Amino acid sequence: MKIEFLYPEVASLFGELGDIDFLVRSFPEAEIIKTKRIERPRFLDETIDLVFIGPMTERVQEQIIADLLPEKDIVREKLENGQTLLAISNAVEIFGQYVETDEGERIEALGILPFFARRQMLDRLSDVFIGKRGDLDIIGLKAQFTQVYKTDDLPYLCDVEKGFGLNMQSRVEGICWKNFLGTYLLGPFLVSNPLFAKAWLEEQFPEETIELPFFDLAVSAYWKHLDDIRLMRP
Amino acid sequence: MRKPFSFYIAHWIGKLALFGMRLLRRTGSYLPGAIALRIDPKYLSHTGKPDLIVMVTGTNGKTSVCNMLRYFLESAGQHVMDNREGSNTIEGLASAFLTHNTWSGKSPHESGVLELDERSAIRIFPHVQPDVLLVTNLYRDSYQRNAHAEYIFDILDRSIPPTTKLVLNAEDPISGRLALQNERVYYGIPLLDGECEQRHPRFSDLVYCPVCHRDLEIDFIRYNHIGRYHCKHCGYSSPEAKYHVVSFDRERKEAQCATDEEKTIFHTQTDGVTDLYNLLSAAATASECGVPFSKSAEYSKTLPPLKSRHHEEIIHGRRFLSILCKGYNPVAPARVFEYLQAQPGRKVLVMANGTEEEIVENMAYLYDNDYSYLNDPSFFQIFCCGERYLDYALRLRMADIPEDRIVLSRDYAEIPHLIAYENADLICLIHDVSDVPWVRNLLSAIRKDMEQLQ
Repeated sequence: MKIEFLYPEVASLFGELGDIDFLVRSFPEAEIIKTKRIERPRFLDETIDLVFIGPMTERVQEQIIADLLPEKDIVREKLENGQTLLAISNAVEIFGQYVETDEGERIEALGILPFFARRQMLDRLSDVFIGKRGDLDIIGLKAQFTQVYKTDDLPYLCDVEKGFGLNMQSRVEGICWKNFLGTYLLGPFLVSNPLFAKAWLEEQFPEETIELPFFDLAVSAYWKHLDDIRLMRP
Repeated sequence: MRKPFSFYIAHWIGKLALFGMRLLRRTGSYLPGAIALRIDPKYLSHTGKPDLIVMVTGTNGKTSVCNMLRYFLESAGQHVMDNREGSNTIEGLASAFLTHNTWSGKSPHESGVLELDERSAIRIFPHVQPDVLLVTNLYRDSYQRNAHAEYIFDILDRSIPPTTKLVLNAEDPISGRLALQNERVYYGIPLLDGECEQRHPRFSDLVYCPVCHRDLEIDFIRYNHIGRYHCKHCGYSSPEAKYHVVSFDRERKEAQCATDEEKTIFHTQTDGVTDLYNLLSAAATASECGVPFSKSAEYSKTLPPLKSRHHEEIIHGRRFLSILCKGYNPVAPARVFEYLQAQPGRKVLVMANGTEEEIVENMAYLYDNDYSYLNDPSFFQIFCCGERYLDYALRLRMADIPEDRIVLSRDYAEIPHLIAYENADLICLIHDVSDVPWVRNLLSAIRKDMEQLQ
């Protein structure tokens, strides 16, 4: 098992260090790779079981897109062949068509998935979130400058019960395509959603023995948080 | 400038609103200013200003530094207005001018020390241009509102008036590069004797060179990105400080500080380096406002302690510490943890962040804060309290803190009954609000219990 954390020194802005700790503890035998922004991602050239990338500043996002654009065919092929990749917040946008800035400029992204993002830097959107994925409640917090608009059908993570979705009008959150999972939920996402994390990781890695850290305590915290978010005003 | 009639309407109605709120025993920190701005959107442009305006902004330390700076200026004989009772947003500033200015809208003060919310700079600077602006530091903060340090940097950078002189932290490579065309001075604290570097902070808001975005060479890192750096690619290096610390005697709480011309001894209120930064930045700013550095040093001996922020007492031989510490912040709690870890003896820590009324939804900052400082056997009881007590407990476990040192207490009233006072040399309560009944009740209940111990 190999896990690659892409650019954790710049792409872990909103508590994703918690997700990184969580994954490292969930797979104690795994080889952990932390790729710096000035390095070439290892998953481009070798088999990596799980790739994780978290949120970053807008400037860093543009630098990363520029760095990865020459490799977009490799990234596309990897994802089409089932690469497991978890992207949080504006990391999702790297894999879309483009990011439109306040000034109307288009920053071309890798163009792999059929959506684009519209960025409004003076309008930070934030809300608590509850979503339904089957019987499972997914919780978190959203805080972002961008809204995402699909240009074609694309499976999603969950239906919105409280809060907003991919954009302010959307009632769905997240993007699931093959083994790509992208979500704007902060929290940190995996730590805050131990039941989803367990189900998703077991689905992705059925051969692995996965022991989520402090699972009972994490689940208790999740139920309490879910109850509290239900009580909160939007 | 001739004031429009709408200004006088705004000013008088605002003042009446302020008076009304005082009758109702409300602070009037926001509403009167909001009313004045609604009537006259350029109220801040039109109202009278002191001759000298100093503003203090940055992620951490604003309130403490404003208190120190105001004391230095007042001690030097200046008549100072401030916004200590108001908020630090545009409405709070408007309320402060309503409070301090005469009914005709004139300012009777020589100088103003105004705390400024960093995100509000873009709305305030077009109307009030500070002569001197102190920026304490910039980190990631309140994620829902402030996003990240680069976002706040950009807001400040494009809104700081070109005539404003900047006082900046030489060890902050982010805020240190604000408005590069402006006149500036720096203050700094070199790595002190016996100080441990934090070469591998849990996170850093600046990893690559701020000029060429390539690898930076580290001279030293104090915490997070606070430190000194140079870049072998483009020649960037941390700026030299005009005001700097030469040595710090933590036991005597005395810091020898220097400028090019003089060396002088400052008295600090605690032995922490964060407080030393606050003191040095306030003295540097006062010096740029005409108060000699040596005079501020003299005034530091009588600087009133900020009891609501850091209060310490000895009760029957045991230390009782109460520290106000921003909850929605990924840096401030870790600085307190580091300070507490360095204190001698067996410790009880009560983390009373979050209010009973407000259910805190954002746990992200918990995972950016460095809880490893608490993974030390000297902390034999760590209380996780309030509505998010389970999230705190999970974070502590993720930092490998043994379960038997963690005490869960959702109910604040229960805490005093669970503290093992007899085994403790130091009991510390950290809280992110102070002027609320449950904090006051908790403080007095712990104090009472300690007083009853033999």
